[in-house]
Amino acid sequence: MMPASTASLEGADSPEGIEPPDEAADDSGVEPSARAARGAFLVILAALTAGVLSLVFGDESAIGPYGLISALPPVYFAAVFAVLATLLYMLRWRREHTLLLAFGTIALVVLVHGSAALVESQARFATAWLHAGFVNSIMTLGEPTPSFDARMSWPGFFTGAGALTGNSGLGVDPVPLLRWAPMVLFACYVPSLLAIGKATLPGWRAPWLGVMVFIFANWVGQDYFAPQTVAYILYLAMVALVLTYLRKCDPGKISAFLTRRSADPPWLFKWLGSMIRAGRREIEPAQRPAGRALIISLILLFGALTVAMVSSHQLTPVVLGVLLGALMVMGRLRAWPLTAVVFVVTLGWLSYGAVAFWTGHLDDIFGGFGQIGSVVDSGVADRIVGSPEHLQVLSIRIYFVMTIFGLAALGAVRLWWSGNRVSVVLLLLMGVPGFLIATQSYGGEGLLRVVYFALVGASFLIASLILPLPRAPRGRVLIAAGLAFCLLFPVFLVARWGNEISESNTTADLQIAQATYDLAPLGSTIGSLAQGGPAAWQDLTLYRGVSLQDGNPFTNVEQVNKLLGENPIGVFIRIAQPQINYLVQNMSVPADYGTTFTEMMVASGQYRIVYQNSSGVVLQRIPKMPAVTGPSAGREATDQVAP
Amino acid sequence: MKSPTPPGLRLAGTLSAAERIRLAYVLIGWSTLSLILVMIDAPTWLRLPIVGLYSLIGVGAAVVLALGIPLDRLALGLAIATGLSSLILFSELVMYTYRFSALLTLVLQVLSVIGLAGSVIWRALPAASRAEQPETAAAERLS
Repeated sequence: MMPASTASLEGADSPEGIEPPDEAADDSGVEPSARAARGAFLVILAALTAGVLSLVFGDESAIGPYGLISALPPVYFAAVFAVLATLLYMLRWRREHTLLLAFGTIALVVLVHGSAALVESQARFATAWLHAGFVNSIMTLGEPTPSFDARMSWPGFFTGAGALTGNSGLGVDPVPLLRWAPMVLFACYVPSLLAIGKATLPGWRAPWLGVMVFIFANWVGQDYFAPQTVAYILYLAMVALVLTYLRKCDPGKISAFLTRRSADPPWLFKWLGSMIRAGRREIEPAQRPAGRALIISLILLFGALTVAMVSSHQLTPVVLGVLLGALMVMGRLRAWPLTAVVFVVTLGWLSYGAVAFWTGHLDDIFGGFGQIGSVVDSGVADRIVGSPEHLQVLSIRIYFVMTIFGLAALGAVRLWWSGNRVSVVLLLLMGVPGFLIATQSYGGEGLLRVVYFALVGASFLIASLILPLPRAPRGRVLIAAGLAFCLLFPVFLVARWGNEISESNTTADLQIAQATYDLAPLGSTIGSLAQGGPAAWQDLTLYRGVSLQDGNPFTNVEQVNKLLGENPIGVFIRIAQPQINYLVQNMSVPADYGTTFTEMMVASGQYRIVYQNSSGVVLQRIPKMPAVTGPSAGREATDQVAP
Repeated sequence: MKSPTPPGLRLAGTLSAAERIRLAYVLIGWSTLSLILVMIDAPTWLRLPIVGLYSLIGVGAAVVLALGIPLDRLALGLAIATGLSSLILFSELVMYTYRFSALLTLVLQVLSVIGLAGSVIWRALPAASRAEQPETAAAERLS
């Protein structure tokens, strides 16, 4: 078995002299005393404690049109900056203190990506509650129902979450997992991200810095109780595995052809050739040696991870397959058939496991091929609508993305200028997800997914902008980096949590949804005025859910009735504050739209209020015949208001 | 001159064979405890951290250790991914009889423990006796 230190750069006598053989220690930096290590630990612990307590006692109701940032107390910002400063300080040390760096990094994840869970009283994000409903449905019915929702054609995550829920003694109710899932799942990214950093950047400092950058750059909000989050964990682990053990530094066949093409190639080919030769010049970290038995085991493990990923999410395996293909072309993948394995398994699942999805919907899969303009429109242009504050949040997101990728491009340039170095793998990790723009028909979220995947490469390139060489950075470099983090952190908070006013949930919001379930007999129609608020987490397939969102703003009751249709069992409408906030944000309705809508419905004489609290109301269509008794008839919610 | 290895680096692939075996015993104990808690239908507050966490990472850690992957950050990432994948794959296999999924996940735990125990026995064997095998085979071929 080879020690981890063999993962350092090959050849300490390389022309650039980038990395000494021992990655754990070098001659630069300051010697960390035991006192300094204890001090760093105590600072992180104190900051983490203070930050968490400030969030727990924070004011949930202070969440405003710019999102969570208005509910975050000054102590929280001080805590985040203290942890960040300590981590940056540790990069000056001569040796890598793994446990302390890991502790600080996890503390950052808790403070940055656990902040919403700590401030808010209930699990956030309506889609997470819907996913809990999928798990509940599978556990209750004993099988997925692909005809109910396309996502059920990739049920791996939902069944896996069901197994976890069942084993944990939670029965058929995964809701307790929702609240902490974003933070825990984000923490699961960290080891694989570090392994990717170690396999692509020299030394130990830049990989850790890259992870810090990723924590502050990943604003996309895809980290929650969702299939893509778990698939992303698998994606990172598989990329780390490939880069650590199955990489090679010789040019691939296509890339070798490109370099042989001409003795004096055009500048583009010359640049490509230089990237390919970068591997041979031994300026990339070497792959880790392994015996044949271990390599076979790892390939089998890769296969198992592939199958789990393919059955869980439709998009991630495609990104992985294309990335592996690009690595193969650029001479950075030794086990090239893995590319075919990923695509064959993906097509296999699509052909058999997801039949219910693609039958009659082939255009949904291939319809977006080449339609770059429509994808960009649905990803950016169609989303730039709503209230002035929401438009500002959207603008901030766009500028934040441009800043991140601009800094990453500068990182690539700086690597090139400091010794003609270029990290082919990082450029591929950042650039390859861009193909989704041209090939997917994923709707408006497609561009978000592109950013989500590309952030891995971008984060490490930004780290190499700050630390292009493996030696300890100067103090002023770290101070400048720390200031940049501090300046960008509020921007990140607005980008990440800018929709929180419609995506967070209070206990009153939950009571509205629970009252709907209590009052509506099984088989009823339940209309939602818009997306937002907890919903659909139980008996998902046993009710007829109708979204009224696209019909807003309604001007008469018949418009609503037309969308809801008839149902002799019962018709209910759930109106909660997050829904109103969503409509105010995205459709510029007045802030009192919920009240005027309710008054309009009640005044029509066709609907009555059957439940009301500080968040909203539940309306019931007054039956023309005697109403069917509900599963909880006679049970009244605590603060129910009689019509 | 190289500096002494700081404590934080002990996890970075430098665990000795004896430490790895001790770690394997911890995992076996953890798995056994999980089995017992499920069998006695322990309350959720106890099962969620012990059984739930074992399902998430314990199974993967057992696989990683049994395969002999050096223990470092990649191994941790693979352990998490493998744990998640085993949950997904085993629950997929029993999709149509979902009520048995907990039982089958426990079967997975048992399998991982068997693999781990096999790995422990293999590693506990004297290195010399293992090294003799290919030499013996080669000698037989030569004769």
